[in-house]
Amino acid sequence: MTMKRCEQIPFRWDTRGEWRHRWHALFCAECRAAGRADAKLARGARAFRRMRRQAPLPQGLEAEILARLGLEGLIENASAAPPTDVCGPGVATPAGTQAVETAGWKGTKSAFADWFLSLRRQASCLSSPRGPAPAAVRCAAKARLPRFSRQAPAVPPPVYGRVLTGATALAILVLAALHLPLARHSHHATPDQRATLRATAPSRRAPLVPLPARLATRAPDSRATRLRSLPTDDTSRLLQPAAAPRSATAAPSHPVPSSLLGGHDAADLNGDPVADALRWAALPVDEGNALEARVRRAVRVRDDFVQIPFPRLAAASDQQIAEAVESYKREAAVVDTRLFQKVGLQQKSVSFDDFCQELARQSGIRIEASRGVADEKITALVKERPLREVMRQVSRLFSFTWLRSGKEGEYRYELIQDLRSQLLEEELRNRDLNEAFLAMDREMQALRPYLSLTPEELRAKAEAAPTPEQKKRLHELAGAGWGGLQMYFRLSPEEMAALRFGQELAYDSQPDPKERPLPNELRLAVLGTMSGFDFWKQGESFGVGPIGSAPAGAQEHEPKDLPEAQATVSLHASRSELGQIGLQAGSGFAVRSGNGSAAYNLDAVLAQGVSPSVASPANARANAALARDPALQPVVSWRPESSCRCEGDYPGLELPGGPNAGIEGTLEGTSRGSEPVTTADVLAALHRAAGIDLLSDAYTRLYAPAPVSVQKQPLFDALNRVADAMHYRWRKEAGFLLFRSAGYFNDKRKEVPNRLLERWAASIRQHGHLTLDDLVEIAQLQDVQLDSRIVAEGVVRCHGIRGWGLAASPNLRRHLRFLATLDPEQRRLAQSPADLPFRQLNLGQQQQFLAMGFGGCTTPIAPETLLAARLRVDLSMPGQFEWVRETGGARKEFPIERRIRAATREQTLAAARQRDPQATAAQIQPTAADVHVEYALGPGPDGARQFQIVGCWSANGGHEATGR
Amino acid sequence: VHLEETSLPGSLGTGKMASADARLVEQVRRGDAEAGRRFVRLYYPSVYRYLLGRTGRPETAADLTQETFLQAWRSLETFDDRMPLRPWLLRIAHRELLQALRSQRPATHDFNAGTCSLDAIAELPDPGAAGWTEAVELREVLRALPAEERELVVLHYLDGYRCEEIAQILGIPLGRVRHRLVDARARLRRELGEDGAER
Repeated sequence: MTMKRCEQIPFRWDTRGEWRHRWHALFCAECRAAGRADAKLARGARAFRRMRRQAPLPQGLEAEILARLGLEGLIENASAAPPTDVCGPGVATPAGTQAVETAGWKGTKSAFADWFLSLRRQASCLSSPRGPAPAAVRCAAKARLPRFSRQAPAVPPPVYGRVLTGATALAILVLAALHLPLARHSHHATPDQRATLRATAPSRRAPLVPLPARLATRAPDSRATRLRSLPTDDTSRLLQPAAAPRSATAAPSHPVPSSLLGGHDAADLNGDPVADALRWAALPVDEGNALEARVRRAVRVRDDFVQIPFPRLAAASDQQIAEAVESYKREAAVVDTRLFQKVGLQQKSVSFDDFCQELARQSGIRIEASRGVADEKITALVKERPLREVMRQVSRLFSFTWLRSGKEGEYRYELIQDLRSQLLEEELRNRDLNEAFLAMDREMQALRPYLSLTPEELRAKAEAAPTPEQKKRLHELAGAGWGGLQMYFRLSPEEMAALRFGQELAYDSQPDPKERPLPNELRLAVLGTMSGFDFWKQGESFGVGPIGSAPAGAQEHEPKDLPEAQATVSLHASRSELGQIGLQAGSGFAVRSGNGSAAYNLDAVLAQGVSPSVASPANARANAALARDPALQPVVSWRPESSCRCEGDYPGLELPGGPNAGIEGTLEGTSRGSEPVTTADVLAALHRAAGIDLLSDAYTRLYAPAPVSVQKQPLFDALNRVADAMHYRWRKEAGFLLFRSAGYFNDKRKEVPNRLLERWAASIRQHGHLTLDDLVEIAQLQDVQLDSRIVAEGVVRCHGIRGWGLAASPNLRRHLRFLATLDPEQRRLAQSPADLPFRQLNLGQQQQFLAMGFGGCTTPIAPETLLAARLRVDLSMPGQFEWVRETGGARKEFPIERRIRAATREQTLAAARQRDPQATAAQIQPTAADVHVEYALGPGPDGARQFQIVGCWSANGGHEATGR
Repeated sequence: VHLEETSLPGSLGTGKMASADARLVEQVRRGDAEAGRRFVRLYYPSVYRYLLGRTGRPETAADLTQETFLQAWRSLETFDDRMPLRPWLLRIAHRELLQALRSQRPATHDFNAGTCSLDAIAELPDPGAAGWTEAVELREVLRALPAEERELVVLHYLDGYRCEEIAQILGIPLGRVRHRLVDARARLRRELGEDGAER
């Protein structure tokens, strides 16, 4: 052992004797430990070396290196691959190439014949000054060896080329004469032999050339050299299972006859009829799919993030299939080295369309996003990474695939999402929905103790509740929620299924055909929950409302005191925010009197459910393995800068009290008072602070800055905390930080494409507000997109699309969708003072007009009123002033007729005074975002007009006024 | 156990071997394709395993091996015939590895200088078999070493290269190699020795 200086016992080096070393080693604990350490180190090193010796070399690596060096023709192990024997004219197979290129030293029979013919031809050239003997040339031509003949002088076989010189020529002539019969035999070769000769003909692959020339012609940047590996698996093995089922139904399994390889016509005509027929028979779809799946499993694509289209098979012949497999294998072996070039990306929440365009711009490669994924969004903050790494991580993060097509060197890439991935997302959505339902049910089960309490007992409990939140909750349960609570625990399996599918369950003590019966024992209790409301009657007039709202002199009755009062209860699992479920309960009463009826309803949210895995991604647990990652240990600080500086309101949206509002607030922590930040803002701050490349999906979400800011915290902890706050999952792969929304499968359905948002934002910049056409276009988005309050807030705050809520308003949405069926000229007319006459609508539009405007009316529509029927649309947006002529509180006049609008308050007042000299400045109000659609019929026999006005008011979301 | 002057089978550099290498290179330079094939066949396993040991990823190692041979092929004219071929190839491999490391390291990242970004590609290979506790333990200890020292320890103790060869591979002075090896060994002893003393 070599002794070293020890700090504990000062070691005095003595060269005279070894005893001091021994003494030191005996008494110094540190050195004894060090000795064991050395032994342990040595043992570990030995184990490593053993392991290294046993580590297998990658199959085909040598071949790839040789291929890149231009030495592929010398690969010995290629001969290990069984010949495919499917080489048609002009098709080079490895086996064929090998046989010819190694003919000089392998000496197979056919190769020897080829070689011999070429020698004989050369010998003839040498012996005759007039050129080669005509018989030899004819012989060689019939043996179809033109390429070999042409190439032979330029690239002689390594051994025989040298042999064929000077003095040996004479010996070769003698040899040629002696073997003449063999040449004749070859001249009369059978078709099979000819086919063998063709199969062993030199390929089109470039032959070996002297190394310096090869190197000299290599481009300076030939780092981008194609990589090819020879097939290591047997094509016939791949084909074997595919042939079996076919043989059972159509034809026996068979080797590909030589006649199919092209050659003698008679051989073709006299060949195996079944085999010949297969050339023209289509491959069954399932068989083709099975073959493709098998080949894809067996053949590894070198660019592992790339999918290569499997060649289309037009026929069922083995030759075609084999060629297709070979073609696929060739493609799979290619690595597109253009993808090694580096790219840098600073893209926040851009569409994949833009992302791919940027990649294409930087790399010069044709890269596109397919239509299915073009609108999805990505945040990519990458500093100088090879393009292939970025593409690989994108593929892994999003479960997308890069589809490679085209020719080598000119490949184009298309980002796609295959069906399997789409189905997986659907499965995740279903699972998430189930988990959200379970979470909601757990919350309902927590209310079970209140099930036996009457509304009065619950109210008493509420009064005694210690906190305002509990008090409010118990009051809700005692009021609007009581009936729903009772009915939830009485649901039949069928009703529960209906609830899960989003149907509203309506119960009534006197049900009509569309309703379900409310148990009798609940009737009085439900009516008792409406103790703050009453039914009033005065002469022929009657109504319902809060106590004290009845006209003076009217008789007032509590609902429970009226025998004819009907109790109503409703249950609805609202999924207005995808990924969240709010169980909405309604309680109310209805009283029929004469031909009319009056009803009053109250709503309450009983429970809310979110999938636990989405609500709390638990990143610390998921990434526990990275806790000691050195790259994640630095202490970092960041505070995201908001990119959402658009102030805005949400006309048409119910801001408070929606079924999912509470969950949303809890989830996102969005504060309307502060400047919210997006996910991309947070990730940009992270990227600046930590300097790590990252990729993330990008969905519209706003956060208050505080929960997603970090102050002097280890990066690992900061990532976990912030990702949890954003409901994201993160992981680290190949130096990238990857972020994925925990509920991306729901988020992506809610997201609005950037191209649309940009178009609407441009329209606002041009016109100052959204036009009717814009609103109509917005209304055609899917309901999940329009229902989402999270998306709505982001659209308004980040993109400045004020007025989004008009189109998103559930009340107005279907009317705007009806307007979408009108052509632009019709819409212009509807907005003009001339109105759009009913008769200018086509039949379908007329039917929709009646259904929209008067579908709920019980009074029949007189045909003569349709002649003067009309459609009007009034759009007002903030930024103007308007004067509304008071009409005694009754809204029986369409807004256009009673409103005067102008750009300024003064102009509006002047215009108003022209119509009404009594107009005052106090009556001038700023305009609000609003849309009114009026469906009006012509005058009836009594001269009155029946109309319906549908509007969206920012005060309460929606309003319908019907008058006559 | 003497660890300072390890001479393992993988160590090359004798004059006889160097002359054989020189002949091989000369044949390759002349355009002898068979020699080119022998050149690849002889050396790609060691280059690949060297890179596998540092990247821990077979795909990355295979790619880098190809790049190494491509670079070597291009710069064959610059090869010094008096020197052995393997360290020369490994030096190229080392450069390729560094280049790959640099491409993965964020430019503005101010992480722990000794170990930054090595987690991505510089992990040692998994032994892949039970019972190799020494290898596993050593791997864990090696992980804690700064990247430069780890490189040296792996080259010296695991790959069996002498200090002179390592200096040639890494392109640093011989003295610095020895100095770092001493530091690395002391660090390893602290890690392994204390553990051993407790037992």
